[in-house]
Amino acid sequence: MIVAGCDVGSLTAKALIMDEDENIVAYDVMTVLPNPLRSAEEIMSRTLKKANMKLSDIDFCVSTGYGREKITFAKKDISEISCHGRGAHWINPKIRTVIDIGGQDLKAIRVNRDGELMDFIMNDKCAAGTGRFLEGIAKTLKVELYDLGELALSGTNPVTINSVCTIFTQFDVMCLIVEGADKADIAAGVARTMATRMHKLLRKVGIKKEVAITGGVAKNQGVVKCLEELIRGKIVQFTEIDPQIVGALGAALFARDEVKRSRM
Amino acid sequence: MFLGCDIGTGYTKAVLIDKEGTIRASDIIATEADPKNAGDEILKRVLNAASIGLNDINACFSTGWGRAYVNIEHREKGMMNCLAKGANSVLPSCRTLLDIGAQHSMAISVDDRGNVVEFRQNDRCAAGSGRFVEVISEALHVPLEEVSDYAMRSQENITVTAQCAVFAESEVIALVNDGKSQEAILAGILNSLARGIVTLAKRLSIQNDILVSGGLAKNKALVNDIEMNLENRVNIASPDPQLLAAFGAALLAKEEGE
Repeated sequence: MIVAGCDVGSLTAKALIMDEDENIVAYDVMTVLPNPLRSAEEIMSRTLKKANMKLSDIDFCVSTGYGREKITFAKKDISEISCHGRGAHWINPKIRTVIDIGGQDLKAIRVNRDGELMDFIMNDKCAAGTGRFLEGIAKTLKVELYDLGELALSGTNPVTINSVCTIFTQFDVMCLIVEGADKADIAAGVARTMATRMHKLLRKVGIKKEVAITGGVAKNQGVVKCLEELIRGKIVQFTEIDPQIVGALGAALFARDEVKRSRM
Repeated sequence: MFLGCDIGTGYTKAVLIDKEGTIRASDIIATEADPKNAGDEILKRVLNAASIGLNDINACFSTGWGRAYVNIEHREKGMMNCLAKGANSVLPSCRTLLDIGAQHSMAISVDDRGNVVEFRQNDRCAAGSGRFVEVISEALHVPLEEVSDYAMRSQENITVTAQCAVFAESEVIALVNDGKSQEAILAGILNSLARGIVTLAKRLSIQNDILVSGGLAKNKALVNDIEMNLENRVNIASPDPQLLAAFGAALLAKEEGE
C-alpha cells in the first residue's frame, strides 16, 4: 500500500508519500503558485520524482490545507487541524497539544492519547503572529526569513513592540531602524511579540503536555525559545521530520486508514 | 504668531496662525519613519515661508504620534482635542467629525464650542486606516494619488471579504488572477474601508453636520462611499483636511497665549 498526503497552504505546498510499513518514502516543500490545484500537482510530481514513482502508484491521497477542496487527484480532503494533530501524535505519541503557526493562521490543537482531535482554537482573521507577520518583518529588516530566528537568539536587549497589527509593526520596525536599534534586538522583540500572541491562544485551549510545534514558524528558534519561557516548559521540536510537513504526514496517515478500511 | 504641529505616522503637518487666527503659513511633508527629522524640517519650512524666526512664535502646541519631536518649546495636546477645535473653527455647525489618517480612524462628537463630547477610534488594525489603501495600491502598482480616480471609473461591485490588510492583499492578488480590473478592486477596497469607518462612527450618536478630515479625506471615492454608507451628506474640512489637527493645535496655542 502506497499513500500520499498533500497539504496546500497559503504560502507553501507540501506533499509526502508513505509506504505499507509507515515509512516516509519522500516529501517536499515548495512556495505556492497562484492556483491551488497547480501547486498541488507540482508538489506531488516533485515528491513522486524523489520517490521514483508515478501518480498511479498511489493507492489513496488525502488533501489538506487552505486549498484542499480544489485538489482533484485527492480522493478525500480533511481539515489541516485534524491532520496536524494526527501527524504530530504519530511522530511522538506523548504529544497532547500542538501549536501550529502557518503562513496565514495560528492554531492551538489538543489531541487525545490516540491522536484524535479533542479541541482547537484558531485565528485566521488577522495576520498578527503568523508567518506573514514574520515575512513582513524580515523584509523590513532586510534579512532572510529563515535567518530571523538565529538573529533573534543573538539579541541581548529585546525591543518592546506595542502594535499588534502586522503593518503597524512593520512601521514600528522602520522607526526603530531609524533610531539605530540593533537588528538582533528588533528580531528578538518581534519573536517575543509572536510568542505572546500564540501563548494567549494556547491558554484558551489549555496546555497539556507534551507540547509540540509545527508549521513554518517552528523553524524560528527565537519564537520557540520565547514560547518555552511563557509556558515554563520544553516544547517538542521535530528534528528528524520537517515541522512544515506534519500536516501532509497526518493526511497520509488518514489515507492509510481509508485503504485499510476498504480492505476490511 | 502661534504654531500647531501634527507629527503623524504618515505625514508631518504644521500650521502657523497670527493673532487673528488667520493662517500665515502651512506645510505637509512625509514623516518617513523619522519623526525627529520631520519635526525639524517642518519647523524650518513654516518659519521660512512666513519669513519669521523662532522668537516670533508666542506659543506652540504639538499633537500626533510623534508630538514629542517638535524642536521648539511646546505643549503636547491630544489628537481629538485638536481636531475638535479645528472642526469648530472650520465648520461651527460640525457635531460629528471623522478623521482618517495613515494609521488610525477616529469618530468624534463635538459640541458648539469645539470641545470633545465623546470619541471612538481604531488605531490597532491597518484595515481601518490609510495604510490599507497604501498596501493595496502598492500591490496593484497604482500610484496612491490616483487610487480615487481609478475607483471612480469602476463599473463593477466587488466585495473584499478579508478583515485584515495583509490578508486583503492576498485576496486582491487572487482577484487580479481572476481577471478583475484594478478599478473594480480599488473601489471594493475603498468601500470596505468606508464601511469600517461608518461602523466605528455608528458607535457614537451621529449628529449633523458631519465633517471629514485627515489625509484620506482627500480621496473623493472614499468620501462618496462614506456618504453612501452613512446615508448622510458630509463636508470636507477646508482649506486642507490633512491640516485640521495642526490647525486646531495652533488655535489652542492661541487661546492659551491670550
